[in-house]
Amino acid sequence: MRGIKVKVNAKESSKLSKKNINNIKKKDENLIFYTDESGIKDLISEIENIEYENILKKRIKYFFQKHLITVIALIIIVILLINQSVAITEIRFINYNTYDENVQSFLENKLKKVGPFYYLDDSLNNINFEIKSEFYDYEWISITKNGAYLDVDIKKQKVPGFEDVDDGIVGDYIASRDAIIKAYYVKKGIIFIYESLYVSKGDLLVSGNLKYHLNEIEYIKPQAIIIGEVLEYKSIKVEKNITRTERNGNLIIKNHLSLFNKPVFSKSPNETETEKKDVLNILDFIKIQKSYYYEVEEVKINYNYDEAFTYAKSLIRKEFPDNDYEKIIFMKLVSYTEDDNYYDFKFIVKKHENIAQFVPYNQE
Amino acid sequence: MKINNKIKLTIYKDDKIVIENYQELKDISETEILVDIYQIQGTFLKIKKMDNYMIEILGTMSTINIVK
Repeated sequence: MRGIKVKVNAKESSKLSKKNINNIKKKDENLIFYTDESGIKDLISEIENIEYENILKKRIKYFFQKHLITVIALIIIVILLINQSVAITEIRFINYNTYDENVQSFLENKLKKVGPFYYLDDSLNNINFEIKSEFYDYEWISITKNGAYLDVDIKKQKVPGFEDVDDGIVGDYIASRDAIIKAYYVKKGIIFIYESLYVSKGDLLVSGNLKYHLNEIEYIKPQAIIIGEVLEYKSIKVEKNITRTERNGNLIIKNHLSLFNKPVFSKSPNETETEKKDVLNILDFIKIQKSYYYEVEEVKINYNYDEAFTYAKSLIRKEFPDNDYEKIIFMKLVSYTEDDNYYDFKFIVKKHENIAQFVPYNQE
Repeated sequence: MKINNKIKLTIYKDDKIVIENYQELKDISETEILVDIYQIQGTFLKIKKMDNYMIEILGTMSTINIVK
């Protein structure tokens, strides 16, 4: 690279011979040309009156002189952006209703203050490990850095059937049926039950009246799940011969063009069940839809006794909630009758189910 | 590449001359460049590149004289 611009008197042209030089031009009584570091050394030793300047240095100097304020502003912006990606301005609990003062103060202790900015004093991985060890009672807790925010992701332990929602309606929990108490979990409220206690339908289980023992009234909404062992009779009638409409497995796929939401050149098959998916949709003006037509047919089902018995039991299981706390202990056939059209089964069902029924407090 | 000591002048069309094995650049202006025995006349003449072996001259050439 010829990085040095040189100016010499035109009379010195013979001294330029045999030198590495580019673009020699004569301007007035001077020769202007470009050479490199070794070339300028040779020329300085041979020519007394010589002017030269490093072009790169000159351009850099010129650039900084002209754009000094812009360069300083850019450097400040870059520093601020880098700082923003490292600094913390706020701790946020990103999930609804998960604010925890202890977690907040734990994280605040992990911040160090430098001037007006806060920074993490340890790596995110280490803090995540520590916070999981410290707050092990949460189903999940983790922190992530999202720009200048420290986001805390908390998931609370879930109890099936227990809804942690306070809608402001105060009241009590009473027994929805006769039962023997097997387990209970009460988060808020005054407890009137204990394990193995027999309760009748309508008995008070958990009260929202916080001043019950003082003969005063101050109600909240209690929160509880109460599992009771319940015995129940269930009658199931199964029709012997039924006819159902079901898909037979044949499928027809067709594309339909719509203009202004009106179908064009479309003939639908006679099959009744249809699913539609948009293939192309330009602002609802031009639309191409793929339609799936499922062929259906009438199916006749004739139940014998065994099939009807299994089907009846499956209906009872189907209507019962399926979770860790509520379950059917046993189901036994008590009686059975049959006529030309129906099987009539009567079962006794023993089950564990949530018997807590909320009754709002009537203030009048 | 230097193969002997004889000066050599090569013309490429009318706008480029390369002189090899030169000894001295004697004079230079926009209308005339003098290298050893060759006096090149024309307009907008300039030396594009020069080293210890060759000189490359660009511009519109009109005459090449041999002077002694």
